[in-house]
Amino acid sequence: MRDIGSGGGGRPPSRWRLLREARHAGPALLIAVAACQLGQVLLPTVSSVALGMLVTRLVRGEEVGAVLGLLAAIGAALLGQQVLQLLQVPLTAFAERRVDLVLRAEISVLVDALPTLDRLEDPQLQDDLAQFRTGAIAWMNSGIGGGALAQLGQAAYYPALLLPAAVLSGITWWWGPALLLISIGIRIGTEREVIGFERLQTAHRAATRRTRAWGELIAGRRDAKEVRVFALGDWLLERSDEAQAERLAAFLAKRQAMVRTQAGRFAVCLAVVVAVELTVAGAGLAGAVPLGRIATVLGAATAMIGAGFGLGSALSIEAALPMVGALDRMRARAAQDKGRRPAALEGAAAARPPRIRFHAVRFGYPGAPREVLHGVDLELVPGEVLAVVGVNGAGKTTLTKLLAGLYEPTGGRVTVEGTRVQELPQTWWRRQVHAVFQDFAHLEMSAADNIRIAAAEAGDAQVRRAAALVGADTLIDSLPHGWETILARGYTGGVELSGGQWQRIALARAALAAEHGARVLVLDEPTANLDIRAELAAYEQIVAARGTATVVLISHRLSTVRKADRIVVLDGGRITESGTHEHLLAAGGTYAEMFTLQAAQFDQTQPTPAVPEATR
Amino acid sequence: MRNLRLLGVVLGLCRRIAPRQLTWSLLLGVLGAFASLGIGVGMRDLVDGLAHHNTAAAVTGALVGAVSLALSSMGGRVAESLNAVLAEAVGAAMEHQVLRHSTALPYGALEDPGQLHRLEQARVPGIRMVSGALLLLKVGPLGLQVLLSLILLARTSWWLPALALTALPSLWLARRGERAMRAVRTQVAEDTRMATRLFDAALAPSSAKELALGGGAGLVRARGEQRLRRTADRMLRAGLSQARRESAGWLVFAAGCTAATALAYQLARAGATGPGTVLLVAGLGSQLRGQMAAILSGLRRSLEAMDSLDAYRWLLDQTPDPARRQTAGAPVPARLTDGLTLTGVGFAYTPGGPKVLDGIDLSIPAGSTVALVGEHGSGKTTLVKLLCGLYRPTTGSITVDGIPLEDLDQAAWRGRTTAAFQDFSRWEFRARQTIGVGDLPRIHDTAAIARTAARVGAAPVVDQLPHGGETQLGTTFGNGTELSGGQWQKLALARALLRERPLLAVLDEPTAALDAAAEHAVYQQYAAAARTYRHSTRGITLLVSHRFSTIRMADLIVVLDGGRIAEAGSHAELMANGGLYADLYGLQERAYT
Ligand SMILES: Nc1ncnc2c1ncn2[C@@H]1O[C@H](COP(=O)(O)OP(=O)(O)OP(=O)(O)O)[C@@H](O)[C@H]1O
Ligand SMILES: Nc1ncnc2c1ncn2[C@@H]1O[C@H](COP(=O)(O)OP(=O)(O)OP(=O)(O)O)[C@@H](O)[C@H]1O
Ligand SMILES: [Mg+2]
Ligand SMILES: [Mg+2]
Repeated sequence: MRDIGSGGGGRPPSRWRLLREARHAGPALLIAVAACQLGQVLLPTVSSVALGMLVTRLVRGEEVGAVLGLLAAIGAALLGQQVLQLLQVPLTAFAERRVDLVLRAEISVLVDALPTLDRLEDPQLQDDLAQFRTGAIAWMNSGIGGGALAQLGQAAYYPALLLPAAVLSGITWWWGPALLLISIGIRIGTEREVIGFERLQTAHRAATRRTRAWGELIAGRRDAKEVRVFALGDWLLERSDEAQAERLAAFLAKRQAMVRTQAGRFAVCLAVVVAVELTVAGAGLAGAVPLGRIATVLGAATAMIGAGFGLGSALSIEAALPMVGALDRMRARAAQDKGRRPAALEGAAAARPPRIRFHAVRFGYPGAPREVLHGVDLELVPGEVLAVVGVNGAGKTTLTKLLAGLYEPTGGRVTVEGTRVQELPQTWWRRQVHAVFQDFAHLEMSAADNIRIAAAEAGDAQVRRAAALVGADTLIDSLPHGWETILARGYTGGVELSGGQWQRIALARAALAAEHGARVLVLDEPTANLDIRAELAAYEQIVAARGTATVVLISHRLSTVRKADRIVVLDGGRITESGTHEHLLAAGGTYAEMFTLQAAQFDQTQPTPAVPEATR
Repeated sequence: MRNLRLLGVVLGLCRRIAPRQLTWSLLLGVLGAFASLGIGVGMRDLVDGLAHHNTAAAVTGALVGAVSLALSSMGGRVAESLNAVLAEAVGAAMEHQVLRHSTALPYGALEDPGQLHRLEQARVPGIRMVSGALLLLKVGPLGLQVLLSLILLARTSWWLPALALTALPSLWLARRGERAMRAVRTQVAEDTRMATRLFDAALAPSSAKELALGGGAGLVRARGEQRLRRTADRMLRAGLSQARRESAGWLVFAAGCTAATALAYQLARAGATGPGTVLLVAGLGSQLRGQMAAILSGLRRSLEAMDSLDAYRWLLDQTPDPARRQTAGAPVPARLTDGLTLTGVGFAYTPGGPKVLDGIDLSIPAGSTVALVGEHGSGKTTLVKLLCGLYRPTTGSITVDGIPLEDLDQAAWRGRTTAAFQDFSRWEFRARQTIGVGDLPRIHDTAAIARTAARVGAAPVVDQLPHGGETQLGTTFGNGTELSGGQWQKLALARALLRERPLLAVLDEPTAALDAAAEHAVYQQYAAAARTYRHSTRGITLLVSHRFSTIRMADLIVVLDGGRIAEAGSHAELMANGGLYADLYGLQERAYT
């Protein structure tokens, strides 16, 4: 895993590699940006040639009227440079955004296509992904787009040198090549200075990610209530400072070293420039070059030397390189995955719910010492409502993740009509089964879209129908902007829903998935935050909305569970009981025990079970 | 001016944290101003020297030009690197301040679009704030340079300094454009935020697993992309129209430069000056353009930083310095005597918005246990948050032993409340710490933590972990162990129970994710804890639940319906009442028989 997963050790991707990502901006835009950049480096030479001619005319004693054309050219070159610069700013920013949005989309496709969830949970991948999230790169607000466009600007440097070099060679043949060498020499030195930041960033990406994570815990909204009630600010801040100190020390050292190197190079640089100017002066004094041309030479030489130093955008390139490295790793892994599973879509939705079997399924989370499932044998009869019960941590949620194919069993098989889930076309199976997990997503999207994620292509009418089936429509209609209300505070007209209201949205997701052809529905604690009336109603609604789909229901509310066609108990990593409510109750096993415990609390004759004295 | 004041803030920090670097950076800036002029002067002297065959003058000119060129290019780079050092060091210090003060913001600020936007601005990486602000520093040397240029020009002809006037239109237009750009940036803030959050959701394993099914990832991607495209289009349009406007200003400046060069040509032709002056004037024109453009683009790039700095100032002004522990406010009683009283409490999340709570009159006697019941969305959690002091009532008041809640010393009151929220935090620390943060002074008291864990059935959760209480949880801070939904809730419960002498303990659906046995055990323990509080501090326990088995034990049961109290009383009273409570109770009871 280390070979492709680690980024710190490998060779950093080449800067030229960035140009390949620039293509996402589209040719027209890139040409426009490149033209702006090229124009800006060429125009000073044009202007120095014109100035040289002006001096020549002056020496000849010509009238102002005779040089108006030259004067206009000098003015136009000045204006041209400025206008190009003005245009370049928004065009470049636009191109950067275009590149970044295409790449963001690609990254999310890559993530979505991962065959299993443990691949996504891999810390290496999470470190890589963290680089793309805003703020991960502290220095620049730029992603790969910023680096790619900056590299494009760098690319414009080389052709831009040719014109002044040609002008110089036109005067004395070896001056052109000489200044080319000088300029490129300066350039290489300048590039050297900033190289190393990429390494540093990659090496400290985990610390950077941790620093950001601590910051989010402290200042983010998710944990803000507990931060305040338990007064955790200072404690968290100490941890955040520790993480920060680690990376800060390394970066400060590197930056200070950079200042020292640069100061050291000043003398070298000065010597070179003095040599150039004295050579020009010498040539002028010797009368080898006429006065008018001296002006041109000085202008062209200054432009070339200046270009050697012009590395202003080098830092966005440095910031982008680790991201490109991460992107390449992700692409490589995706390419390896390709072809492992059948890609063809076997028809559309299955006509009827499939028969699903767990054969002696064993499972342990990667890296965890203990196995969660020790040999689960279970058959899902098409169309049944199956309830799964068991204590906290028994593995119920895990079981459903295996069913959805989000993890691969470490032993045994999960089969659908005899075929292993891992051999089914991934996209197809992921449409056949839908799950509303215990920690279902609260997305910062409109109410309609929050339901629509269960069946992305569903139209508005379908979404509304599904919501109506579970009674979420009245709730949504009452929101400030109805179906378009964003379900998060912090947006104009956005609202936060209560826990139970969110669960209604989640139920609507399940209903929509069923409407849209999902054949197996998984509901993990769908009513934990609902009151008894809503809980009982929700059960009826889901059973009605599912059509013919098989339902797997997980709940600790045995009042709901008892209505299921069949109940299984998951205990110690195995299915220990299976049957109807009456059957299990009569059998007097774990289920009966749990049910009696919940039911006994309504026993009027024995109001509140006594509190053991010992705990006082 | 706002920008100068903000720059002052940054410079003050720089002087404190990295004075040497700051001095050098400023010095190099001033040297750079002279150097830029030196390039033109050197060129003039060299050309004039050559024209008059004056070797000494030509060589001096060449040397002046060379030194100036080296200073302005290499020196410029050194100055940039120095600024980077400043930005790194000072930025980190600013980030620390932002985090420190953000916890002192009232909870409601995190839900208000305006304040949230400011907080987001203040939270941009500090390095970006500082480096953006330092761009402004270049304005000083530029002013110097312009002044020197004008003096130089005036020595040739008194007309030439008029060139400066032709620069004014472009400067003025640029400033106006700045305001327009800021308005656009505010417009796109929500779009950018949404796109970012959706991208995060697509990458986070917890949400990605749901989005993998049903094509949700595609929808999330499309929506994010839509917002980003809109942002890009808006910014492009605004940027291009600004470029168009500014170009008109630069046309005036280019014309001015051309006229000045023509004037210099005339003078040189008349023999009043040497030919080098023509080069000097033309060169100064293009130098000025370059410098002004650099400043303007610097200003533009510093805009975001300045807005962030403004937000930084706002945050620091808004919140009291957390270090100077405020004992402002009435002392919190050691024991409750009367209890909590709510009079006419109403609450709306948004000003003028719908009232989520309305006309709540309730008195909770010291030492009692209260249960809140009601349908989803009836306002239970909102009431809980009000009692924890996370929001202030819109109308009416809440008093503790007769003292208004907001008059109490907030820190002290918080120290005497404890809570398990419905959306409790999943603190990904070491398991022991995840519980221990419930009572920070005792975070190292392993015995107390283990005891509390045992009381709510969290002990088995901790014991089964590979390294027990020292096991790192979650994956945010390294390769830790993940827990199940119910296991997380058990830890949250233990955390809430760790404080020993709370005056108010609120439990919002504390057993929603727990299994039957754990739920049963937990309520037993809560009843015990409530009894302890009752005796030790006469504290109040408030619990929100849909489980009547537990609600029944409460001394006082309050039924909320649509933000109002529908009924209140003991179990027996409410059953006799035959209202909503009796209805729901009957429903649940029947579900178990
Ligand atoms: N992503 C994960 N990585 C590693 N271990 C996990 C992960 N998710 C759960 N576990 C562990 O697997 C076991 C089973 O968890 P699971 O979520 O399946 O339980 P559950 O039966 O759904 O419990 P609950 O009723 O609390 O929801 C637990 O011990 C938990 O610690
Ligand atoms: N942060 C918020 N901003 C705006 N509106 C909110 C916010 N939190 C809740 N609401 C709204 O206030 C109302 C009451 O919500 P609250 O969370 O208090 O309900 P609840 O009684 O706790 O419900 P549940 O049983 O579902 O948890 C709901 O209509 C909800 O949409
Ligand atoms: Mg679970
Ligand atoms: Mg609630």
